[in-house]
Amino acid sequence: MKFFIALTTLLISILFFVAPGAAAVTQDHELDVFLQQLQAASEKTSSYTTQFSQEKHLAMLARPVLFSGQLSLVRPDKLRWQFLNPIPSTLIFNGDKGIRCDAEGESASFTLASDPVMKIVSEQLWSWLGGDYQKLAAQYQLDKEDKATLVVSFKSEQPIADFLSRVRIRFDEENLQPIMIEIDEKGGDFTRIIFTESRLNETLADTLFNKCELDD
Amino acid sequence: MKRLPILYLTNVNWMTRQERFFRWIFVLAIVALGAFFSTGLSVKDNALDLLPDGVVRNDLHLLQQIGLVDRIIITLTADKTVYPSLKEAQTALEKSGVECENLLRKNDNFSHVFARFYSTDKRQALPDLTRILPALTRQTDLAKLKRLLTETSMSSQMEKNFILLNSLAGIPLKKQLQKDPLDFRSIVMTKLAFLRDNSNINLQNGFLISADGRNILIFAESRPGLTDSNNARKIQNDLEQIYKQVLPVGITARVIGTLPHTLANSQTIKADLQTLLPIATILLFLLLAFTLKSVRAIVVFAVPLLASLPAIAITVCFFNGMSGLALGFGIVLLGIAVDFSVHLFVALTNNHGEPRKILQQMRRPLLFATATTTCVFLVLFFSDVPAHRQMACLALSGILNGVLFAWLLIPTLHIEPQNNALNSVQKPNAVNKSVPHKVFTLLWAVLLCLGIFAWPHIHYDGNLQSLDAPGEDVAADEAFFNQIWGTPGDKFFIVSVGGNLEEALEQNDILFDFLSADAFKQIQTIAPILPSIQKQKQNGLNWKDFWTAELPQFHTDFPAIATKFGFTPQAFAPFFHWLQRPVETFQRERFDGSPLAPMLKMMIRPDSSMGNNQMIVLTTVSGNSDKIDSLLSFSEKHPAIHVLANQKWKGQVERSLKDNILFLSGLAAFLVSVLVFIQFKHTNAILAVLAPVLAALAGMMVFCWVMGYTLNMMHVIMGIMVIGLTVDYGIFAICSQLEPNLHGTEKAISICATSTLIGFGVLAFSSHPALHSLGITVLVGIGVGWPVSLLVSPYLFTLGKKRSTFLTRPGIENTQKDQGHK
Repeated sequence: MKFFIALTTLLISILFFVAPGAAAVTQDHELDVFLQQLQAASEKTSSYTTQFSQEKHLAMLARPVLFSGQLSLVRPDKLRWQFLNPIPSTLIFNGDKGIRCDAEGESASFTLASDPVMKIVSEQLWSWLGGDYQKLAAQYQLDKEDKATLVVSFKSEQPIADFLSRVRIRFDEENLQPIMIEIDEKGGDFTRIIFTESRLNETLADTLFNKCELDD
Repeated sequence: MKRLPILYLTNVNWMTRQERFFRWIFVLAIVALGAFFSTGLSVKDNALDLLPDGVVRNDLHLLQQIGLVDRIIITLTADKTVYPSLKEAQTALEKSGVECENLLRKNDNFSHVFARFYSTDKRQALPDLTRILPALTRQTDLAKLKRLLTETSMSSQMEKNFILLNSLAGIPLKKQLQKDPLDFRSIVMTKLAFLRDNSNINLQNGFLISADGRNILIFAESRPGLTDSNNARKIQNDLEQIYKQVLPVGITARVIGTLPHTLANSQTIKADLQTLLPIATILLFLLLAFTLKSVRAIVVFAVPLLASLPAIAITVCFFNGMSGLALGFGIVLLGIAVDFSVHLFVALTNNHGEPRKILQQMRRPLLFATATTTCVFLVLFFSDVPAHRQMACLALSGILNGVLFAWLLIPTLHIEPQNNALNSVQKPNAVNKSVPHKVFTLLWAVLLCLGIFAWPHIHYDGNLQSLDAPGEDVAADEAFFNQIWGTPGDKFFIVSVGGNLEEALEQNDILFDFLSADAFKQIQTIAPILPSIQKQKQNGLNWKDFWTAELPQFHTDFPAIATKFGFTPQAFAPFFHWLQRPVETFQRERFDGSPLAPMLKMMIRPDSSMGNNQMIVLTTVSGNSDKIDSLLSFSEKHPAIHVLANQKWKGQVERSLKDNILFLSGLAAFLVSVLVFIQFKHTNAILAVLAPVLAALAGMMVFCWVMGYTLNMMHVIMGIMVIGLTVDYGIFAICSQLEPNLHGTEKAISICATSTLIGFGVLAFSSHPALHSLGITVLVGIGVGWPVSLLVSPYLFTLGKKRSTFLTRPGIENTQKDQGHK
C-alpha cells in the first residue's frame, strides 16, 4: 500500500511539475532549431529585394491607410525603404549614415549617432530583416508561433517598449525570408507589412543606397 | 711702541675684534629673525597681480571665475594608419573619451569634466521644452508662431504629419505629433541652437565629434590655478598619467588653453636661464677677480642676499600673501644694494689713510644715494599694479637693510689698501679742460634731443599676449585645433553678474535682448532656454494675450484642415489640452540630469571669491569685431554686464601703462630733483646728478623707437630700476668731485655698472619676450647712464661755476680743513 501511495505521489509530481517543464524544453528546442534554420538561410542570402504593402491602423486617423513600395537590402548594413504610392518617399540606411527624401525630392542626410529617431528605426528594421536572428534572440524575448512565425516581445525596461508591444515576423516556409511583419504598438495601433515578389541574391547597384533619385 | 696701536687701527685692524664680532652678530641676528618670519610667506603666483587695478583686473577675475582661465580642452585624435575604418576609430575614441572622463572625475585636481552630453546607456532625455514653451516665447517668437498658424502653413504641416505617421519613423514620433502637430518644436530648436558655438562640432552618441569623425573633445577645469607654473606641471603630470592608463595605441591627446602656455613659458624661461645664468656667473666672477682682487669681495655680493630675508619678512607683515612675480622682481630690484657695498669696498681698498675717515667721507654720498633710491621705490607705492606695490615694499626694505648691512659689514673685512691705492692727495682736476668730456657732453645733449623727439613715437603695448612665448609645439596644437574645430575668430566673453541666480539671469535677458536687437551673430547663451522668472512671467502674459486673440479662429481652422488629411477629431487632443493649461514657470533645476546640464554648469557659476557672493552667467559672441564699440557702450550703461574682450583690455592696459609711466617717472624725477637740490643747492649739481638718469631714459626711448619696440609692463619695472641705479651713479660721481681726496669712485661706479650689465644684460639674449624686454631695458639704460656719469656729470657739475664755489660749503670745508691738518 505504501509503495502504491509513493508511486502515485511520484506520478502526480511528474504530471504537475515536470511535464510543463518538459513541454517548455520542447518549445525552446523548437525555437532554437527554427532560429538556426533562419540563421542558416539568411547567411545564404546576401541581398534581398521585394515589393511590399503597408497597412496602418492608427487611432489618430479616421480609416486605415495603405502604402506600397519597394524594399532593397544588402546585408549587413545597406537598406532602401521606398514608398511609391500614394505619396512617394525614400529612406536609405548605409552603414552609420542615412538619407531621407520626401515627395518633392528634397533630401536630408543624417547619421545614426546624431539622429536618435532614425537610430531606433534602423535598429528595428535590421533586427526584423537583417537576418541575425541569434542576435535578436539575445536582445528580446522570442517565441515561435505556427510553423514559421517569430513573436518578438519587449521588456518594460527596454527603451523600445515605450513604443512597441509586440512584433510578429512570418517567414516563407521555403526560403525562410520574411513575408509579413505585424507591429503592435503601445496604445493599440497596428501596422501590417506584407512582402511579395522577393528576389534573393541579386546584384544591387550601389546607387540604390547612395541617393534617393534613381537614373532610369 | 705707542705708535703700534695707531698703525694697527689705521690700517687693517683699525676695528677691534669685539666690535667686528658684534657687528656680524647684529647683522646675522636680523637675518635670522628675517628668515624666521619669512617662513610665513605665502606666495601666490597669479598673473592678475601684474595688471593695474580697475576694470581690466576685475574683468580678468570674472574670466577666472567663469572657468575660462583654468579650462583644459583636450582633443583626442584617432590615427588613420592604426584605425583605417571610421567606425573603429569612433569606437576607440568614444571608449577613450569615457575612460578619460572617468579618471579625470576621480582626480581631485579636476572639476567640470565632461566628454559627452549624455550616455547612450542611460535614458537621458531632453526636458520637454515644448511643454514650457509659453514661458520661453519672446515677443519675436510670437511672430514665428503667427506664421505657423496660417492656413497654408497648417495644411503643409498636416501633410507632413500624415506622411511621417505612415513612415517607419512615425512609430516613435507619434506621441510627439499628437502634442505638437504644428511644429512649435521648431521654435524650441532655434532656442537650443543658441547653446552651440559656431565651431565644427557634431554631437554623436552624446560625444562632441569633429566633422571628419576622427576627433573628440573633452572639457575639464583645473582646480589649482594654471597661471602658476608649479600647478601647471602637476596638472600636466596628472594628464600624462591618465593618458598612459587609458589611451590605446593610435589615439593621441592634444591640450589647448592656459596649461600649455604656462608650461611653454616656464620651459622657455628655464632654458634661457640655464644658458644665461652660468655665463653671467662666470663673467661676474671674472669681473670680481680683475677689479676687486680679493676673496673678501664675496661679502660685497652677499650683502643684498642677506638683506633680502628681513626684507621679505617686512613685506609679509604688510601684505597678506605675495605674488611670486613681485617676489622675484623685488629681489632683483634690491640687487641695487650691492652698489653701496662696492663703493665702500672700493673706497677702503683704493685709499690709504684712516679707514674711519674714509668711511666718514663716504657717508655723504651713501646717504644721498640711499635717499634718492628710496624716493624712486617710494614712487612705486603709487602704482596701480598690486605687484608693483609689493615689489616696492620688498625692494625698499631690502635697500635700507642692504645699506645698513654694507655699512656694518664691509669695514669688518680686514681690507688692506691695494698697492696702487693713493694717499690723501687731491685728484687732478682735468674735467673742465678735457676735450672728450666736452664731446661727450655734446653727444649727451644730442641724445636728450633725440629722446625728446622719440618720446611721442613710442607705442605702448597693452596686449597681454605680447609677453607670452608659446613655442612651436603649442602653436602647432592650436593650429590643429582650429583646423579641426574651426577658427574661433574674435570672440567676446560677456558676463552678467547678480546677487543671486535670478538677478544674474535678469541681466542676461537684458543682454540677450540687446544682442538680438543689434543683430549680433553667433551668440552662445542660455537666455533663450533659461530666462529669469520675471522674463518667463512676462513671456507667459504675452503668450496668453496671443492665444486669446488667435484661439477663436484657430478652433475653426485647425480641425477642418486636420480632417482634410484624415485625422480624427481626437487625434490632437493632447495639444489642445496643453494650450488650455496655465503658463508654467521653471527653475534651472528642471535641466538637472539632462544632456543640457553640463553646458549650463559651464555657463552659470557662483563667484564666492574676493568676498563676493554672487552668481555669474556667461554669454559669448563671435565674429562681431565691428560691433565692439556698441557692445562696450551698452555694458557701460549696465554695470552688472561685463564685456571681457582683448580689444577692451588692450586699450585700457595701454592707457593705464602710459599713465603709470608718465606719473611714476614724473613723480620720481620730481622727488629726486628735490632731494638733489636739498643736497647740492645748485642747478648745475642737480643737472649733473640727473644727467645719467636723463641719458638712460633718452637712450631707452631712442632704442625703442629705432628698433620699433613697444613699451610693456616689464619696461615700467626695469625702467624704475634703471632710474634708481643711474641716479646713484650721478650722486657718487658728483660727490667724488666734492671729495677730491677720495679715490676709486669712478672705478666703483664702473664695477657696479658692469656687474649690472652682466647680471641683467645677458637677459637681452633671452628668447622669452618678458626676459628679453627686461634685459634690453637694463642693457641700454645702464649702458648709456654709466659713461654719462663718468664723463658728462663731472663736466656739467663744474660748467659755468668754479668748483671752489661748492667746496666752500660747510660740509666740504671741514673735509678740506681735516686734510690740511694732515
